[in-house]
Amino acid sequence: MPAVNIDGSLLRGVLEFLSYMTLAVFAENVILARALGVTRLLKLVPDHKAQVWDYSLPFLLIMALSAPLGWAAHNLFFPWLRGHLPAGLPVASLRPVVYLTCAFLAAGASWLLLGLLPRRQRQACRAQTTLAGSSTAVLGTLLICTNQNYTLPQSIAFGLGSGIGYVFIIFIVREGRRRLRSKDVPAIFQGLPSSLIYVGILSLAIYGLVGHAVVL
Amino acid sequence: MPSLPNRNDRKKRDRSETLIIPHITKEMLEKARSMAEQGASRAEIEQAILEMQAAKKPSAQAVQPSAPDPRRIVPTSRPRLTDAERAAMREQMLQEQTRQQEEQREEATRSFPRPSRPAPRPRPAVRAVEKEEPQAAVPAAEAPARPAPRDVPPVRSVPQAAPAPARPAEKKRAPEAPAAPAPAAPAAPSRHRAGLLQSRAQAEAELKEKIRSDHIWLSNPVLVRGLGLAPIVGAALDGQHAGILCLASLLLITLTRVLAVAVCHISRNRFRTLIYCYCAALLYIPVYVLLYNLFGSDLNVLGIYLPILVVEPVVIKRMEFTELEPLRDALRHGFNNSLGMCAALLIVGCLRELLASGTVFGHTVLHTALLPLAAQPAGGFVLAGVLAAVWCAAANAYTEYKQEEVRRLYAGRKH
Repeated sequence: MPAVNIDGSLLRGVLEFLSYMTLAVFAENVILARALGVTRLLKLVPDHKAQVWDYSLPFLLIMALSAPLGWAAHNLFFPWLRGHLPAGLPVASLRPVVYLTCAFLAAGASWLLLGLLPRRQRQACRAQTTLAGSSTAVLGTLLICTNQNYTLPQSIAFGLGSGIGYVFIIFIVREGRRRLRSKDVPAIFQGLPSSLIYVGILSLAIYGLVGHAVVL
Repeated sequence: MPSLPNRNDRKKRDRSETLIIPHITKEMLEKARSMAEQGASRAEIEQAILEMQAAKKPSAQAVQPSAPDPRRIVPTSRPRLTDAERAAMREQMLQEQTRQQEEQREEATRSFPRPSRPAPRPRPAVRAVEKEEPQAAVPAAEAPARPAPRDVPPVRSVPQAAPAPARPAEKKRAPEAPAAPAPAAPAAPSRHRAGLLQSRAQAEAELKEKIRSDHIWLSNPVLVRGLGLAPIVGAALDGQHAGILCLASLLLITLTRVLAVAVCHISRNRFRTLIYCYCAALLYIPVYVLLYNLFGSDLNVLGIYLPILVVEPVVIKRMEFTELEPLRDALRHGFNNSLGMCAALLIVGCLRELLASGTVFGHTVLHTALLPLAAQPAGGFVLAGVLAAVWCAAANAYTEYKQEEVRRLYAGRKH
């Protein structure tokens, strides 16, 4: 029956969307599996809780909005560009410029969307928008979607899931870092070293869960 | 806790009275005690002491004019000067000002940053003031602002009985002061003290600046400041990968910093994020072409870690600072940062290769893989953490040693 088929395809689509999102949150977490955005994470975590959300909210929006732009650039813009490039210039050399433009366009759209927030939150979030747009996690996710040849829904799901996974790890590392301030931790391991080792152990747990390394 | 007696409980004690007698002497005190023991009243004691004080006053007044204290400064009215004296003093002040300005200019242009032994400055009048007036011990930089008090106070320091002879002596000495080399010797200790103060502050500032600007060792961008961790953990799996990333980082970090600073100078330091990111992305095009010609398809093994260098914090971190540095400094800092990044990349890459497969740059060193996990991101995180701990401990030990050295060098100084 056509109605059943439509429902079935819709359900399959939703399931596929959720599975890609879960994959991006846990198995292919941007931080634990690929070490993207670690520097920003380690600078962000010692800050106040409100600042975490000030950064995380625009970051989530940018991740979600840049995914379709990246898909469009990969499937529409680059095939057109290939015919116009000189012979000595590889297409791969232009990828950062193009995907960075996608990220900044998404940052601009996020900046507009953040206008829906109350004034105080809006100003705080807008101040972090450019930093979130220039994160390695955003550009890295766009490049992963391109390398994996994801479809449009898959790209959006993977982008959104990567953003959620990033925020998830922020809170986990934040809690871990609070405990790592203990005096039992040797002095030379206080700060950056203990945080890196802690993230490494979390990454090891994910690696044990998945059972194989992700494609870099 | 022992119980202390209550001082307010006066009922249980003998009745006593306190007399406040100004300018009391030992004789007066003994007299008052003896009278109190004999049962004299308070009024009688006070009367007797007043009589004693009245008897002593004439003798004290008689002593004062005969032996004036030479150290006592009696304020007098400003001595009237003739026109010639005023002109001479004005000329001396102008000479003093021009000389100090020249000295300051020389100090500013001098390459050696520690003017602990400045050129001798003959300032006899100033030296005299420094002894008597604490105000005179101001830094040399403030001296030109108020030259007049330096000439006047010696007049004040002269005793009241003979003010007139002091003025001609001052008058005669004043115009000769800049040319006289002899008074420079007593002025040396104070200048020396000021120089040492400057030197200590400068030594500490120099040390801090040295630590801050040492991007390879003491302030390594990766292992101390935590920048550029994505390529270190994700892509520096062996020496070859680390080498390719080194070359890319060297070119991108240095050139991006210079180009972005140049553009920021044009844009008046606005839109820094966009400028830094797009400068890096545009520079990536020739860098990629160069690397592609050098390494060919080996670049593909780096995956996403080569393109994401354009937004790596080690490349664009400078955008968060509002100060706009000169191009020369940008080139130097960018190059130093890239060297620090290269050092970290090579160390981590070679160590991971050694632990994961027992080889370094493809050459077999160990026949067993000590830690295969080092090839995974988890191993990269742990290894980078341990390496950062060792690195920071060594850097902190060196820094503390240098700080202790500065402290010991200036241990004998009061400031």
